[in-house]
Amino acid sequence: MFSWFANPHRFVKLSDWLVPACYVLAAVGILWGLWQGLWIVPKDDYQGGDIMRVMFIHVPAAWLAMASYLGMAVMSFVWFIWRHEVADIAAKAIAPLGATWTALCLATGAIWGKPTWGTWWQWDDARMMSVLFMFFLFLGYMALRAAMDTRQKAARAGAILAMVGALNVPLIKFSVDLFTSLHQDASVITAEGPKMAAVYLWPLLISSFGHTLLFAALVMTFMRAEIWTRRAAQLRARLMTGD
Amino acid sequence: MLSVFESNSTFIWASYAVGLVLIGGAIATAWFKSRNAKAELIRIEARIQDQKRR
Repeated sequence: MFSWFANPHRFVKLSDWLVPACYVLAAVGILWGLWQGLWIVPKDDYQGGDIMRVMFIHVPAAWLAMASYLGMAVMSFVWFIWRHEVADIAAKAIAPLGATWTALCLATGAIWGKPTWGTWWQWDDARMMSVLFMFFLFLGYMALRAAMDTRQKAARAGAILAMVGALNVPLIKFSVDLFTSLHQDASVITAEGPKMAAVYLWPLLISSFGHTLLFAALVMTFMRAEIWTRRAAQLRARLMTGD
Repeated sequence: MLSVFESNSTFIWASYAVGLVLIGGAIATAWFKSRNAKAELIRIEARIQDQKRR
């Protein structure tokens, strides 16, 4: 299966229709979630009143931040074992977008935290610090790749960092159970099932689905750009040598 | 049209504004990068075709 997707030409052909489809479905999901979250669902006095409406952007951002890091680590693993170029291109494309969604998670979390906990940030909070660490891992991954003088070295160094850094993802997920945290416990993905009322849960799930599709569309757009850039570099080199 | 909430309106709108800026920035970056990469590839392919013809 990996070999089938590993062909850049096949990927570009597949993404020709997949990218616009993802953008359209993402827009529907995100806008519907936004409309529900801001105008339709009732405020929850148990969760601090209207401020819980931040959930419809904060939670999808948090899920995607973690999922994108895992995605980058899996793609790095695939490159590391099978040396499939498309996997390396995918890992490289995920990094700046993962950093963006992690930044969104941190910023909206701080904005939600101020009226709820009375503080924007808590330096000894395990959830906040592990997510901040992941943000730096994304930035570190990009910096490390940029610092290498060949594409192979960049891919190898980046893959090792991405795979080792993946150990942080379960730490983020279970930080609220293992350590004392201002952050609330998990309320959607729990062993007993979602603890959230359906009126909030469905808009949250659909909004998250929309964010996921947008993220996928953006990753594919970045990947297409990288494939074209590498192809252009090959052709330019051929042009220089006169082959 | 904008909802005025009973409490914390500024915080709620600020979080969605941050989302708009970050996600909008990501979309714009992806679009420009993709467009420029494609244009560069087309330009080089045209140069190669031109060279072959000569």
